[in-house]
Amino acid sequence: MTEQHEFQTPSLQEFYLRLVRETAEGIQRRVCDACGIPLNPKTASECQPIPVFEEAKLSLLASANIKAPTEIKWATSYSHEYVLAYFKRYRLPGERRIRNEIVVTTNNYCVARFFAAKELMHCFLDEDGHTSTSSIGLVHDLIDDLVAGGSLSQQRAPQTIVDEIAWMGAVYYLIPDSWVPILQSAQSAIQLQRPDVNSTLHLAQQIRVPENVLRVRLRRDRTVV
Amino acid sequence: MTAITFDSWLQGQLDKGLVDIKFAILPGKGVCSDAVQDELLAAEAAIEAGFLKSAPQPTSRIPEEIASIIASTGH
Repeated sequence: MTEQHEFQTPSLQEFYLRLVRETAEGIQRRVCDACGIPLNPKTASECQPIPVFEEAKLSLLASANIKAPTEIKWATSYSHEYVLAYFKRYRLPGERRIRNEIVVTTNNYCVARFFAAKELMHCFLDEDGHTSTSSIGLVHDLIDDLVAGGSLSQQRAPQTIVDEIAWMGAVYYLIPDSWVPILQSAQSAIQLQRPDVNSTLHLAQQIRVPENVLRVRLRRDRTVV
Repeated sequence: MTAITFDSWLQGQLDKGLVDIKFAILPGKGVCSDAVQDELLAAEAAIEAGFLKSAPQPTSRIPEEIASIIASTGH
């Protein structure tokens, strides 16, 4: 660590986890309401992709733009293995207004939706600047922490906690809690009738999320997520 | 060398008003801070050069038989 952080990590983590869940679910309600996507579907086919950046009556990107100008740039890239997206916030010197810029490099639609959602969560999470990565030292700390895996560090910086928790925001936003039981039922029904196919993959296609993310979300013995 | 380039890019961004940056980093064999910094610089160079693309679109479809199983699954 190049800079000292004095805080109680567990409580800060709990605080941001609660914040990201409430934030994601609040935006999700407004977006689903506007787009006619039921949060309590009668059949699994009513579970539809919740707009992230797509043209729609409301989306996560449009919601971010209500708070501050926010743009996603889709960078052409042939060699990105590790950094599939990142978020930048600018504030011109002497001005109060901010603007957000998100860069996404992946070509896969479902992966892009998930990564864009994760980065868009940052537009809503750091109102007071407490978790901003705002110096060269903090940026190096954040990259080191993320590369090493956050759980390795007992004293994670607020920047790292928020960056990791933003993933949870994307999961909550894209796969509502209320959809989990019906998606689990659909998963079982597909497995029963077509044991030769990947049931989770097809459900992931239905709501346009990465398969591995949905697989974890639909675990039946889960206590967290 | 990478660190110097990355740091000078970062300093330039801070001068332009950067107040926050966050990353979505995939774990994997070979991932290290230098690789992350290189990829970020490559993306920024691509953007700077105008190499931008449209947002990705869905390309796959659910087979009809599976779609009808999903449609028939209710509470």
